[in-house]
Amino acid sequence: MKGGISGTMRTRDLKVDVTDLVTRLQKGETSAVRDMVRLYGARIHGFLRCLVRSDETAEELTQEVLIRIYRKCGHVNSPARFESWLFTLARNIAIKEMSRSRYRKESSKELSWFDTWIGSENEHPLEKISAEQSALLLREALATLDGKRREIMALRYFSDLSLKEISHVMNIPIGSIGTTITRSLESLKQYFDSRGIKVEDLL
Amino acid sequence: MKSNMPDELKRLDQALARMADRAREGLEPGGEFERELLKRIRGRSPDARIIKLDGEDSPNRRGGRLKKPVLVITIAALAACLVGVVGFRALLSDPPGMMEFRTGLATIVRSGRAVPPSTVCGLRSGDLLETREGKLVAYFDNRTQLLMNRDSKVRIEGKNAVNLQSGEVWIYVTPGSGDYSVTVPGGSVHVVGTSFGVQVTGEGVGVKVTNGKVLYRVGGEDAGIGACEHLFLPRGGNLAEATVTEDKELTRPPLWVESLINKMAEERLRKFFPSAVPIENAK
Repeated sequence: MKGGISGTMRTRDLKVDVTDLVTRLQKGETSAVRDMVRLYGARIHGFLRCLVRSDETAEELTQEVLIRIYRKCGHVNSPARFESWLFTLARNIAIKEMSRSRYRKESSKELSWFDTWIGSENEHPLEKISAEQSALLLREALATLDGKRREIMALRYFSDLSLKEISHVMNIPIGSIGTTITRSLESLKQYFDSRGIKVEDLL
Repeated sequence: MKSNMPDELKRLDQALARMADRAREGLEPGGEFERELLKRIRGRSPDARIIKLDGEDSPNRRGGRLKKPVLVITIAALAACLVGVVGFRALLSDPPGMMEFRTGLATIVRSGRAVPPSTVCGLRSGDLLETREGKLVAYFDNRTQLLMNRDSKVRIEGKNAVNLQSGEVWIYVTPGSGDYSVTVPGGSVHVVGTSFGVQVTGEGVGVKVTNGKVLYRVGGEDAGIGACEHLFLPRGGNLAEATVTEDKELTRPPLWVESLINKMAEERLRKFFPSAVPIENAK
């Protein structure tokens, strides 16, 4: 991950020149929209899904964010800030959605990851864990964190942003982001320990 | 900061990053997502110039500018589409109810596709709820509560109508919330403020009422069923063949309903007060 504290590298499947992408979006090319979906769709969805707790709402909001990117990308002056800009947009949309009463009505409806595991035939909870269960377990763990911490960790893992980019999105000094990540990891470790899950099981 | 982090946390960080990578594989939007997005972008765009296919100009464009009549027609068509799309989406995005609680295995079939109940909150008209070994509680906007027993199939037809295809349901309708109907093979049950159960088996349809009154309608004819009464209509029969029996013990819902409500209450209690111990265990 670029600038990540773990020192590991996360590769992005698509390497698209952001300046070129923005130019093509401004021209209205359909292929640019496809590239935008492939490059950012899952990352935005993953981030929003951690905040809104409903697949449907997250998918709708992801579309909303992508539409706004498409319409407003002309305002982006610095391609280097493009990702920070679009995740700030995603965050603002999520915050607006969360303040709506409909969200409150839906918020506690997600079933626990452990519920889905209890119903399965696997002996060990992390045996043959699917992508969907991975997402559910990670979201469930992140849900134990308070608002700001959850947002930062969601940006870190699902949106694949660097500390600098997270700092721009959250409007928090980069040093505080690093401290928050360390504190959040400590909380998450406690959470996994309390559930009898070792870090080795997750690797 | 990098060097200060304990190794254990670094490994956890790596593990979580890997989990997120795997999770993203499952979240990768497919063709439908992309198509819907393109449709929405086109439907919403205030400027017709952005509707353009890869690498080619629209036939209505000349020198980068649209002809005036075409522009007016396009804007009018877009506005009409927008109103239609917004209206249609508003209709769709207004779920008549939501799945409140579930135990065991249950499926929701939406647009011909089985959706994992863990990902569904709002129920939409047309959803088919199917319980196998599980039970389910749905809550509707008009405060009606629908409880489904095992091996039951119910199609949601709106906030005040369901279609019971097989199995057994128990329904609590809040007085003053309007009419509520349950369509069953060969007829329908209509109520205004009551609690009642409907059962569809291979032998026929049974309706049990604990409170209030319901009307069972078959081919334009109505039969009234009051509190503590049980109506049974053999399969394919008319109302003249129906038997209504008085059951003085029918002041409470069946055991499966009470047990499901208790489980739901227990689950909520646990959620809000994790240390709470169920009364039966406390003895």
